[in-house]
Parts: sequence; C-alpha cells; structure tokens
Amino acid sequence: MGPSHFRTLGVIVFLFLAAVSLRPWKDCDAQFERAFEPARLLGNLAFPVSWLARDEVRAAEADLLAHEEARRAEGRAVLLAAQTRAAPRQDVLAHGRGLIHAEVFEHVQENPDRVLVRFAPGARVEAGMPVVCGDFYVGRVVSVPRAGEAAVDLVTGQDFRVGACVENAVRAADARPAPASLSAGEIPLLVVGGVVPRGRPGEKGARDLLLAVHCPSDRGAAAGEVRVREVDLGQDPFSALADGFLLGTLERTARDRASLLAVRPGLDYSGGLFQIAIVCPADRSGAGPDLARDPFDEAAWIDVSLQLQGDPTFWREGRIVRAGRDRNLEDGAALELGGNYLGCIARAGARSSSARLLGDAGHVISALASPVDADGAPAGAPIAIGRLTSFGRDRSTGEVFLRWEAAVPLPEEDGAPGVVAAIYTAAGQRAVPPGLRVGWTVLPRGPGPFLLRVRQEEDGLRLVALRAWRDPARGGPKEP
Amino acid sequence: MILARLLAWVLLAVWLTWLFAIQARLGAGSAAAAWIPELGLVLAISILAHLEEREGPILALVLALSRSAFSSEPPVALLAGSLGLVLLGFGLRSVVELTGPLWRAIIAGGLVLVFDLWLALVHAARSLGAGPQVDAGPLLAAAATSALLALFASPVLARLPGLTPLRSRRW
Repeated sequence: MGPSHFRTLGVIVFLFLAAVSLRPWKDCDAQFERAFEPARLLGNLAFPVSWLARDEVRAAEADLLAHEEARRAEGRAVLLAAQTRAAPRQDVLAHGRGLIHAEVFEHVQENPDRVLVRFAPGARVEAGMPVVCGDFYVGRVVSVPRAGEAAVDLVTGQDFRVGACVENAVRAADARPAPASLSAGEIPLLVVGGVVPRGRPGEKGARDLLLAVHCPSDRGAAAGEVRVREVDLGQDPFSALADGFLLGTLERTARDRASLLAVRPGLDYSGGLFQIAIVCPADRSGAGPDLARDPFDEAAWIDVSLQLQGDPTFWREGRIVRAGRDRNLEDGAALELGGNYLGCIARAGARSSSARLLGDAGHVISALASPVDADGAPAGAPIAIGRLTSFGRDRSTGEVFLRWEAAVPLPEEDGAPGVVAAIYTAAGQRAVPPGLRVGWTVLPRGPGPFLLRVRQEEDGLRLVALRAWRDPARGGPKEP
Repeated sequence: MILARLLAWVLLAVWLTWLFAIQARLGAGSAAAAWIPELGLVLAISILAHLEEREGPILALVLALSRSAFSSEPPVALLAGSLGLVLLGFGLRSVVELTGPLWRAIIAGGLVLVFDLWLALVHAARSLGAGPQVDAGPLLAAAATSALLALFASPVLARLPGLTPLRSRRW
C-alpha cells in the first residue's frame, strides 16, 4: 500500500474514531474499553514509580484511618438529623397520619420525574400513598416492585395532577372580579402538576423551575400559599392523606409575552430530594427514623488499590483501580477512606476500573450541608443543597471548586455572612451511600449559582489504597 | 529481522509506559503539573521522525495502549488522538526536516498542543458542558516544556535501548 493510500485510509479511520469519541455510542465505547483493558497490565511495570514517597503515603492513610470512627459517628448523626427533617414540622400535618421514612437512592434515567426510594422492608407501603418532605408535598407512590423499595412519581411529572387550594390569596390589582361561582371569602381552587416551560435566555427567572397551574377557579389570584386539597376522593383511598401539605407559593410569571400562574416550589425537585416520608394511615406508621442503609456497613465496602497516584493528562484527576466487576464494583460506586468521600468509579471493567476523584472537572455529587460553629461542632439542621458539580481543583490551595445551583437559596439576612458548613454525600445516587464527609465550605446566601471553594481533609491525590462501595444485595465479592 | 522489530515494538511499549507513569506521578497534586512535559508523546514523536509510514498505525496503537494503562480518558479518544498525531506528524515530516533541532522542537510542541486540545475537547463533549473548559495557558505551558524536551533530548530518546530496529534509513 502506497503512502497516499495509507493516509487516506488513516484519515477515514481517524474520522470514525473521532466521531465515536465526541458522540459516545455506548456499545462501541464499551467494546473499546473491553479491548483496551488488558493494556492496564502494563501498569504493573510502573511499580518502582508508585514506590516513590511510600512512607509519606502510608502515614497519610494511617492518619485518616485513626479518626475514622469519629467521622462515621458524625456522618450518621447528620443523616439521622436529615431524616428527622423529612417528617412534617406542623402538628396539624402529622396529626392522624402515619409516616414511613424513606431515602431516595436513584433518579430514574429514562424518566427524570420518577425516583426510587428505600424504606424499612417490613413497612406496608402501597401505590397511591402521598410522599412528603417536611411540610412539602413531593408526589405519590406508583409501584412497590419489591419489599423495601418503591417508585415515586414527582409532582413535576408532565402527567401528574394534584388538587390544591390557595390560602391567604391575594388578587392582582388589574384582575377581573372573582367569578360568581366563587363566593366571598371562599379560597380559590386549582390543579397543580408538571412544570412551566423554561423562558427565553436572558428573560428574568427563565431557568427557574416552577410548577404548572391548571384550571384555577379564580384567574385573578396572584399570590398566596398553595396547599394540597384533593376534592375528588373517590378514586384513591390515600389521596386525602396529602391534604394540607405545601406545594409552594403562587406567583405570576412571564413566558413568551404571556403572564402565567405558577407555583414556586419550596423544594429542589431536580437534585435536592434525599430524605422523604411516605404518608400512610396512622395504624401503619413506622417506629421512627432509622437509616435505610448504614453507609458504613462493613459488608458494603471492599479494599481496592490504585495503579498509580496520578494521571498522564495533567488537568484530570483520574485513576485506574485494580478491581472491577469481578469484585462486584459498578459504575458510580463511591471511593472513600476513613469516612471521607474521595471520588467514584467512572466505568467498571471486568478486572479493573477507571475512577475519578472529586477534583476531576465534571464530577457530580448529591450533597447535604451541616452548618457548623467556629469549633466545627454542628450548629443547625442539615440543608439539602442538591447537586454539586466539580469545576476542578485550585492546585495552589488544594481546594476543590464545586458549582452549586442553589435552586432553593438560603434566605438573605441583612449583613449576615454565609453559612459555614460541613458537606456530606446525600442519598440519591445508587452506589454512593449518604453520610460520607466531602469537606468544608461557606454557603453564600441568596440566589445562585455559586462556585463553592471546598476544603477537603484529604484530597486522595497521593493515596494508593482506598475503599470502594459495592451493593451488598448483589452477593459477596468473588475473590480472584 | 521480524523478531527484532517485534521486540522493538514491545520495548517501545515498555519505555512509553514508564515515561507516562513518571509524568503522571510528577503531576499528581502538583501546582506545577502543567509545566511537566509530555514525556511519552515526545518519545513517540522522536520515533515517528524516523519511522516507515506503513508502521504508523502500530505506533498509534502502542502509544494509546501505553497511555491507557494509567489514563482515565476513554480508550477510543486516546486511539483517535494517537492516530491523529501520527498522521499529522507524517504530513509535516514531508514538508519540514523533523530531525533538525528547531523544527523538531516546534513540531513536537505543536503536536503535544493538538493532542492535549483533543483530549480537552472530548472531556468537554462527554461531560456535556458540566465542567469548565481547560484554560489555554496550562496547555501552552505543557507544549512549551515538551518542545524544549524535544529540542534537547529527542535524539537520546530515539536511541533508547532496543528501539534501533524502528529507525528507517530513508528518514
């Protein structure tokens, strides 16, 4: 084959590979991963390099493990506090109802308005039961595929509908008179479900997530507190249990030159939903908050070693883990040491896996913030801050930049500084247990987004031995 | 003869693996990571300067395999980047004298910059804009130090033990 033929063929192959690289085609990507996995054996040649500064590495590992129990206890305490917050705070909402605590462990990929939750396997959960978080309505149970697990449809779903009323309604100044069917003093009714389409770029509040309002009994209502009020009780025996729970505040919003009624939710449905409560008849209530899964259950963690402390691509924080599906690792599985969250498995191979540390740009975690005082002691209830996306690491200070959307912002108070908080992993990711410490930061007040500077106790950059999470339900590890 | 060439390719894989390991280890957690030259790529470019064109795909494959031993980048992106680097290198070799010190340094710096830009582009595309783009400054720093390495060390790298059978007399 002549040089010109070689180049033509080479360019064609290059274009194909480039297209697959930029627009991942899952099967093809997986085939390349499989074909290249044996090449990781070459990494064994680098053992002299990984021996460099091994005493320093061992000292760091020993130091982390020495305080592991204290971090575990703090993580469990934060989780229990977060679960307690899942129960309604208003007595009137708790009265005459039972509550079953549950934890979100997965957002369904094909349907972002559906979450999977875990609860105590003995609890009698049925389809149709309302789901709440604090005083806020979340959605309802649609199925119970197995004991201890349920699928929940969120109120943000396009086809979801729930009856509601507006308390303390305020009518718009330019509104037409209330309809004759609505007598004086009567509260306006409406139906809520789905979300209002996002606005045009540049439009005020264009990216805000607002719940859609349907069939309002008074179109002149412009503000007020929206609470669930199911009037059609014939279809579902559990729907009345949701009455009184908050949906949010009514407001008018501009979309495409029109003024729409919408509900501003008090919850971050897209990423801040972790600990919830399933409302049931009072006689079915659970004993109280209990951890749906203990994040530090020894059966769920295995020791793994890294190929090398580093990545040839200098701006990445990737690692190769010497364990894969042979030891029940899965994509997204958490990596920790001493109770500190360090990263996750990006793709689990047959006998080895690629992993990324927290400082790898694009790494996403669900997080809880636990406010702390000057001495580092807990100083308030945990805050579900939702998803944080890594924007890399400041190599000069070692701090990680994490982008926080602040979908539900912290209230602004005159001159009040931000909230100093310890960040922990939250529920919502199947293979990342909640309660692992991520680091410390200052949460700014007011609407976001913000780029948080997070200080980690250990960044994991020099470690060679970590622990990886594996699902205990999948059976014991197969030791090679 | 065939056995000698086969052994040379195996030894190249070993050298590349060591160089990528050293590069990765030096850069881990270092504030000066961007200033560490792309040791493995500079060796590959040094070999490419004297390689028969029909053996270009083998060089691309060995380069991608060696880097994938430590890299979290998708293998398909590494293979595409390596093949692109080899094709670009052969194209430039027919225009300028790659064995001359000045052009060798300039071409090595340029190829390293293109390779790193490619990996940054793939990372950005795959994370769907969830993360930041890599600044041009650190990429230029890596390219500059790689160019300097190629200027002073490329002849030595191309003559590392076991790699002589890969040199063609034509180049």
